[in-house]
Amino acid sequence: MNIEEHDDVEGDLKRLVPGSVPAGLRQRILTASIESRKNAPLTPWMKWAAVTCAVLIVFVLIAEPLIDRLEAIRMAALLNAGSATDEGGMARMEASDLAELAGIQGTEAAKLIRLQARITSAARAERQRRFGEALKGLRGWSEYETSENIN
Amino acid sequence: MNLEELYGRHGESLYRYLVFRLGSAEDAEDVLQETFCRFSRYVLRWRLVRDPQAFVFRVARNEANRFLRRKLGRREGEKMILSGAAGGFTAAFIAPEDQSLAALLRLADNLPAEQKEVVFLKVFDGMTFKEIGSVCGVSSNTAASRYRYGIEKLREAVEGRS
Repeated sequence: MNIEEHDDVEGDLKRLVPGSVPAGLRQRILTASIESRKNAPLTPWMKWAAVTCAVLIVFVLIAEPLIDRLEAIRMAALLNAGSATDEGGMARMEASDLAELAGIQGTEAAKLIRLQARITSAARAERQRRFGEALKGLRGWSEYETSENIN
Repeated sequence: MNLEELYGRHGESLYRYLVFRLGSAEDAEDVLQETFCRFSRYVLRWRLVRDPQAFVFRVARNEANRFLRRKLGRREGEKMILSGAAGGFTAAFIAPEDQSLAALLRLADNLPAEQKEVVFLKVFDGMTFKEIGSVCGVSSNTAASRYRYGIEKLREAVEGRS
């Protein structure tokens, strides 16, 4: 072959002959890699199991705070019944309706609304006090009574 | 993945590639063994591989780089990897009797390392530029332009000699 006669460098490169592969290389490589597989700390099925467990752990780690948050929201809704703000709003609405019905306007109507709001908040405070006392009583009950002598 | 089947498909071309990268048949043999030991430990990963040829060459390339870092130390190993001075075409091919072919082999060895590698993978392993890009960690466009520049340089050098 003469390079001057061929412009196709790629074709010329393809004519190069690669060095020979040592005899027995295939056997040596395969034996070593099969040995390595045998001595691997984790067998293929153990790897599958490890990956599955890892995925489950990650899922639990992600899901737990979400479930906790949902639970806390639900508990808060149950305990407060979301009533505090609603009651205030209702009181204002009822007082203004009352004032409108009675034909009271201006400062008198405002006084009536304030009075209604005070009554509502006092009632709420009283409810909270009773709830606190009930909780204290329950705490005492659980401290001094056992399940055997409930009755 | 069946190791025998894998060796049948890629073993010898990987060996040639490793001789080209490392410049020594003994080192290439050691690294090929390490590479296949690594393949034997891959179980899950094979299921995610889309292009086995590019994947096995990439693993072999990484293993060769690790070998050079271990052998020469981190800094010298990095230098050697970047310069591509460890190996070359002369190491991977039988010296041709034809003088002009021998000259072409020497010229190819003088190419910059990144062009030399792309030319090797394209011409001798018939890889697409996308596959070469995956092996070398560059885009397929970069692989294509490296190949074009490399072949152009070789062509100019050959014409300059004539």
